[in-house]
Amino acid sequence: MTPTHEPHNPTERDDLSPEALAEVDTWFAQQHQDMGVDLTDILDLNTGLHEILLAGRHRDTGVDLAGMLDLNAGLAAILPAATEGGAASTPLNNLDDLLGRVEAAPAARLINRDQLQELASDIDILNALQHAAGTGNVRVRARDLDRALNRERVRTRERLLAELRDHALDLDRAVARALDHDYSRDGDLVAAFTSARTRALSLAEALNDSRTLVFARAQDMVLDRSIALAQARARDLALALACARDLARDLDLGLNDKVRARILTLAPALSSTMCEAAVRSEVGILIRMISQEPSADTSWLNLTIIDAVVPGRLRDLADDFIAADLRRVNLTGLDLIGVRWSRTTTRWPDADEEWILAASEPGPCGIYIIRAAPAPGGLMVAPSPTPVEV
Amino acid sequence: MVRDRNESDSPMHAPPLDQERLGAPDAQYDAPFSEFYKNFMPSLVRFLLWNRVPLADAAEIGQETMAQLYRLWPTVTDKRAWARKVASRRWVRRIADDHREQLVDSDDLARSTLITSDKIHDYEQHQELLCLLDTLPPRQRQVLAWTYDGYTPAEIAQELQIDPATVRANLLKARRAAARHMRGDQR
Repeated sequence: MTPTHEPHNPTERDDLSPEALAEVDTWFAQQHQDMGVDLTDILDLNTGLHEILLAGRHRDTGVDLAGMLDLNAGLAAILPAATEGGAASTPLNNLDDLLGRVEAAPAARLINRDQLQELASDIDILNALQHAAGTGNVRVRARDLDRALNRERVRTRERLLAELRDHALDLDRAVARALDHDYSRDGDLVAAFTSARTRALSLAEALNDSRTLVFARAQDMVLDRSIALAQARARDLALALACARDLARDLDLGLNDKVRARILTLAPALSSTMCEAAVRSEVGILIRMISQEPSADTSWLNLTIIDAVVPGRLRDLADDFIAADLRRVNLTGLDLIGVRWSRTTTRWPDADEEWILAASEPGPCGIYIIRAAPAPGGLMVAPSPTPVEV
Repeated sequence: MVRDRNESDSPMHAPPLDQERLGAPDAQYDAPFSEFYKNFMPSLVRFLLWNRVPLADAAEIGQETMAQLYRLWPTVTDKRAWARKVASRRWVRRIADDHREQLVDSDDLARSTLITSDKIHDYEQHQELLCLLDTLPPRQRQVLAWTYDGYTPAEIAQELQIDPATVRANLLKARRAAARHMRGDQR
């Protein structure tokens, strides 16, 4: 290290020889080196390093938690019921988000329970159809459909009853036509029609059992809605059956085995298409229910990858009103059978608490299930045994 | 003189401010940062001591600077030069603070969790150097600190954004003062 500038003070020039400067350089360098070694001993570097790494990871944990926690649901649980649907200003783009918003709107859920249950059923059916289409096995399809319909037979009552009767009649005609035209050799086709007819009639018979309950609640507005829905569905079914009749007419015209094979191919596809349209329509209704907007965009809905747990979650949303604030809901005409609620955390309108309690069966942990839903004021006697307060 | 520098001579890019808010970098950087920290942290504290920053403050500022560097790790190219400059600025900001100015007078070692008290006598052996540095103006101390960390006058001038001739002049003055100090001449 050689200085390139001469000192400005002439007296300093005399003080310093090159040897003296070299000595200074050596001393500085030695001090510099020694101090570095000493500092390595003085400083607790491991502690310092961990402090920095932990601080960084702690900050990251905060970021991760934001993704892990369902903040919308948490916020909705804190905010009063009056803000239901307030978060709907953000556009929906996935089913999970929609269900989250529905969950955070208990009043809307209670009013639209039938809609949630129908959507659950239709997704079940759609999944069964898609599964059957994947396997190509008619019997598997029939079995899955049977299971899906069985799960919902009590809830769909009058709506499915009318629909299934019409269906059975049309199937009867189709079977008769097939037999008349001596297509009994096509054992699969006839067996499938016959099996479907038998199943439809047995379902209709089972559903008949619940008609008494339905008629007992004739003043219930739900019935009107169910009938309207059943009629709409019957119209859809009529359209599908018209297509089937066209195909049958083709058969009448003496087409060959290839046409029969084509019918068997088209039938499940037609069912899937109808079911997909129904699911998409029902999801649109849910979106309108949450957003309070006149229209709903369901273009984001991918019907080929609906999670199998969605129907179960929808049914939970339709039934689970534990910790829900329902004070602003007008219960008149609502179907409340199957609703789970808590005597400590569910808040009903003051005027309805007594008859709801009377119509409910106590379960474990202070949870009640509404088993009968008489008109307000119909039953005023508290059930026995009285559940333990939680 | 051991050249205490990064091998890279690439220019140091100032990272965007927003990146400081990104939190910790990817975990893949933990290992290289840990190695860098263990190797360079004593050098950074020594650099601050040569600028006559009290030991406790030097440890604190060094730690704060390293924490900032960790967050910006992927974006800083010449990490050693960056750390020295940031640490120097932190110290200037600290002494500009009226509250901190009172604390600067007392080197309260307990303030830093990094300092192990049983080895503190090693540091005290450098009192002669520290007394000498106390007699130098800040600019000369600054130039000495960069010089003995292995930087040439031209590089120091570039880092401090001053004229290279100024660097050389200050370095010469510091050496002359040191020589007089060693001879016991207090002029």
